[in-house]
Amino acid sequence: MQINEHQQGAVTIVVPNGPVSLSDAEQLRTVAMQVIERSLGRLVIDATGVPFLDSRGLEVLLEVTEKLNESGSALKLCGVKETVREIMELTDLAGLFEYYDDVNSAVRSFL
Amino acid sequence: MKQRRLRKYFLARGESLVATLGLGGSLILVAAVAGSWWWTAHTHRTTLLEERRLRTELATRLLAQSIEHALAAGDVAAVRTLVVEYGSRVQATACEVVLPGGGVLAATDATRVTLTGIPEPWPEGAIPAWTAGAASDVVSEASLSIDAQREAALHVRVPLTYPAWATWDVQVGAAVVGVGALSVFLGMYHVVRVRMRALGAVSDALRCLGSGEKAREILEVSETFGAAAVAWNQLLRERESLQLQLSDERVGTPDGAPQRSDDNAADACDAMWHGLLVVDDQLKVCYSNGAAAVFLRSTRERLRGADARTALPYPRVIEALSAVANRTLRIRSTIEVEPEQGGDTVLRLSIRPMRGVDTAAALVLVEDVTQQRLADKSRNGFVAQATHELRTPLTNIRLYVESLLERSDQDVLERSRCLNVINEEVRRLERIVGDMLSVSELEAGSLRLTCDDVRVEMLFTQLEADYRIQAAERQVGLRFELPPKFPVIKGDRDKIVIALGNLVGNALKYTPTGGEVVVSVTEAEGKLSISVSDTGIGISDAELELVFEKFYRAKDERLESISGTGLGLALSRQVARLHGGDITVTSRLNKGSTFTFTLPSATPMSLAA
Repeated sequence: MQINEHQQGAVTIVVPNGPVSLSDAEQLRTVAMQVIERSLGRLVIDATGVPFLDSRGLEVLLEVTEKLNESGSALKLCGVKETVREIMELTDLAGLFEYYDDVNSAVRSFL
Repeated sequence: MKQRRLRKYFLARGESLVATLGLGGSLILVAAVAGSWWWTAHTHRTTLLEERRLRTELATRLLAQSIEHALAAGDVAAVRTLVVEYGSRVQATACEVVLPGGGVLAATDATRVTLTGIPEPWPEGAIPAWTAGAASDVVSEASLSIDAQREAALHVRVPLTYPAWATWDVQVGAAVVGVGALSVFLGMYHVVRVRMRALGAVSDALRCLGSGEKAREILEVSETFGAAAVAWNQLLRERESLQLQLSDERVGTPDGAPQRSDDNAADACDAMWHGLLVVDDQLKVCYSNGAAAVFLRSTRERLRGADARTALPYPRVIEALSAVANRTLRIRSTIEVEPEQGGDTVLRLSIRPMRGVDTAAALVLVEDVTQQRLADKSRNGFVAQATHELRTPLTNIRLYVESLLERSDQDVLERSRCLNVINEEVRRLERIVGDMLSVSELEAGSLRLTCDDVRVEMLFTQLEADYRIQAAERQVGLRFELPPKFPVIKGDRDKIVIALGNLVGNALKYTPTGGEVVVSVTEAEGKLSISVSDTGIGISDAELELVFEKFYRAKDERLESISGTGLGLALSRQVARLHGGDITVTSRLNKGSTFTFTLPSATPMSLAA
């Protein structure tokens, strides 16, 4: 899985492309944790390129959320596909994340 | 004093508990071994004596029969030999053949013999009774009957003793078993003691705790007792830490009563996305929530009790905190700082004195305002650039309109030239305003894509039609390297055309006469990549990312003669990202640039408006 990063203002947008599972999930975890450490939690995950995530992927999102919760923040996701959203709702985890339609809306939430 | 007595009593007892058990067990074992040893020796001795007594009696009866035969044969010497040998063998103190009337025919003690031979006739009368010997002697008496006519008696007295060596084997055996058992017991005790002493000490400490002792230094046990002792001490330290925390959280409640609302307040502070610190008048951090720890790149444990001068190493902040501690600052003070390790991070610290507390503590609110500062900077830059961009055409329009108004005698050609300039500047204004609106809409999120199936080949047909004339005018080659077949993608056709148009337009604009612009298309891994390469003036490495910012134009003298708003690339990148793609650039100064527009083949659901 390819993971791109770009800055929008002071916010880092992490863009995974492909299903988040197994070793790819670990890669996403590493990137997200580095961004959180570097930018004090100004992180948005653009999930437009994520068609599916498995239990390890969910686990990584939970770990990132817990890390952000330490500073009272939450994980901001944008462009979440219906399949991914359904997986989150089925596992009763949907309420743990903040959802935005697009990157700009997510970035504006930091203002 | 009471605590010391308790400690001494309980812990001393605790230390000796296992030792007492070991000593008691050892004594019991020694007593048991000694008892067994005595009982075995006693039983063996009794058995030996009984056996000796039976053997003596049996031997006496056999001796009696032999003496009867010898007397019947009249062989006095044989009788005496039998008596002496027998007495010698059984170590008898006395062995005598006594005839009626008291005459002694044979005896182990020769001085006791009173008859030299068998008397003729055989004496009449009674045989004197055998005098009893010592209680420990076996006294055996057998009647002799010679030829069934003559009577006599055989008296034997044998001391009922046995040699000391006769019981050594049993005694040594019992001693070996006893010593072995004791050794095994002591070995087991040593092993168990190592494990048990920690439990014994912890057990005693628990009793001490139950009796009201609270001091950690008294309840602690020696950590040389092993892992259990270390764990117990750790528990005590954590308990003390929690008690301290609890007591600190109760600060401010006059009666010190536990309040559930304190817990709720702590939870609420931890849920805040702003950092919160409480610094006392000694400039020590009393409290920190999670966000403050993250913003200050520390942990709550490290912050708690830390010196504020270390935790907040900013002179102005320390100055304000000192002012609060000295009660010279009674209003809020706001300071913005840029942490050394935080890159471009900007933290805003609001410091104000706390009310309702005896000490002069300060509340420090830490906010991450990096994004706000960047947004402010961007907005200010936008306004400045927009003003500049709008003023230039407006000034031109005003000047030419004034010229037309003041000089009514102008000829038709001059008036036409002025009107053409005004027309061009108005169109330039229209273009600028249009671009600004598009960028603003995109940034505000109010612009939604109208997604539909897009036939990619049609995009390039339109691009070629739009820019062919411009390329020819500038004498720049425009070439399209297109594959034979194109995928159908989902997206907003008009916005994609605008974005690609900006790329091709820029390429033509910044490529000198005789250069070439090539548009090529590739598809791989579900992505459609459209590259626009030119042989233009290129972009320096330092400016590669900046060209995507609004109103940014590269610092190159050659650009002064080329008009541009600096909004095209910003708009194009926003369009690409809104489609789930991006625009990237590679360039070499004076050699040319390549802008690559990527679009995913599958368009996100959220964009399908």
